[in-house]
Amino acid sequence: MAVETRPDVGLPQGVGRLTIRWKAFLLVALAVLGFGLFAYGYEQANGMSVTSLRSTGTMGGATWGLYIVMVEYFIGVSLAGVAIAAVSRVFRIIELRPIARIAELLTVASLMVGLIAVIIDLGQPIRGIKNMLLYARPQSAFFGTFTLVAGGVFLTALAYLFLGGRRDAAKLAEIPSRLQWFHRLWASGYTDSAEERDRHRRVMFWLSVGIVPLIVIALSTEGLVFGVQVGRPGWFGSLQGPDFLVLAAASGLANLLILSAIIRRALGDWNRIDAEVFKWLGRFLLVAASAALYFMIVELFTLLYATPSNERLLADALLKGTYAWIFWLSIGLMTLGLALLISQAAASKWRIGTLVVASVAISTAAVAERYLTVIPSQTHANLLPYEPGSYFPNWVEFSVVAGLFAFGALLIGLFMKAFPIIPMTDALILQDDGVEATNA
Amino acid sequence: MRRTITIGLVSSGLALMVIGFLTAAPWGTDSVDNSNPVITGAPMLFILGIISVIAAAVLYEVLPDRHR
Repeated sequence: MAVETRPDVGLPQGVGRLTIRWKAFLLVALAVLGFGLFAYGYEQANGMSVTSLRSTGTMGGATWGLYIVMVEYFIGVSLAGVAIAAVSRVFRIIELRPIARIAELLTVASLMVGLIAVIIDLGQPIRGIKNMLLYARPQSAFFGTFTLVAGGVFLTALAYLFLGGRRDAAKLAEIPSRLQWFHRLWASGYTDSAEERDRHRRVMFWLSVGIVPLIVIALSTEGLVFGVQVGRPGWFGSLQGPDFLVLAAASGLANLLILSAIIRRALGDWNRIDAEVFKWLGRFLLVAASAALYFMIVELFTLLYATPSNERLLADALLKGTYAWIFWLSIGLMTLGLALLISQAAASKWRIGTLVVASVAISTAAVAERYLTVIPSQTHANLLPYEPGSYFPNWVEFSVVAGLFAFGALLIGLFMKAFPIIPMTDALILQDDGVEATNA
Repeated sequence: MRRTITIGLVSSGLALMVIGFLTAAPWGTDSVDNSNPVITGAPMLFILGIISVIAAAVLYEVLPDRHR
């Protein structure tokens, strides 16, 4: 065992070293993923009737359930990740540089998971993908969502991650290890010459400039998928686009903050994420969460003044009916997160533990808010004279979603064992100075 | 060479996106029966356009210098 791990001793940030803690994480993540795959296999073998999904109206259910809720959530999270990476480059926020790669990785992992969730929601995934590529129409908001999110943002995030890591890869490729071939491949001939650095700066700047409007358009079309549905009270409205954008920013920042805190702890002595990073993230999160809460209240206020019966039915279901506990939970958690952030801002003390608690509250509130966006309008807002329906996910859907989370965690965990999660120029300087890496 | 390839890829990518977008719409049709895109697979052209533009950025940086 010692002989096997010996060649990787020189790699920084625990890259290539499989510790007991990491193996335990791997085991748990694989077990959850395995159970998720089993649940999906069960769903595929027996049809989607094994889930709680049912037709709206005639069957009194919801055709878009937990899977679509998670699509909206994961895509939101992903876009905030790359937005932070881009903003830190365009506006030269040096304090955020240490987490730029974490943000890019969060984008790639969340987008992969979000796009898989879309595919899982399709009873016939192959047919769905084929038909989208052949027959999708630009008048549909789905066109923008799939082409811009799946095509544009995902590929740009991958390009970001790849190009941003070449310099580190070139340095790692000089260190003998079992991963040397991988680092050489990633470096793809990078020599760190002045011309290459200059080119890199140019490319990253233009990618950053390009991705910000792409994100705004992509998330707005995501909101428009709901916002342009005239026949669905609660969905139809001009606020869906901006609401999706704002909640995505809040949930994405919250997740980035949580992930950064976990990585900071996991890296131990190799940690380069200082308190300043969390201060910046806390401030951004404060603005985004305030805006998200504002949108939640404005939408509810509008709904309360609605005269048509269906909107009123929906408002009642949210405030005091079937979905009241989720609604008040989301409002409560968002308010709690915001209160914690405001208290820290007022005291000018940004404690990482408190920030993580606030982020967990805001992220959970975002899932609940997405749930309330997707589900109640299907069960309680039919324009045709159907009785109100009901939907709550069953074990199959919960297991599949847990599997998706495990898959995302695995992607990030595996990446951390193959490549430094924090841009490592400083780390290598330490190593060159003879500081031995002792942490996992 | 680097500049030519990059400009070529960006231009062709943008052209593909415009062509894909325009031909994915069922122009000139007036019924649901004829609601398919003018060119079947036009959405794929749009996505290929996006890939081409992003590939241009990657190639611009990755292509080796001539003097090497």
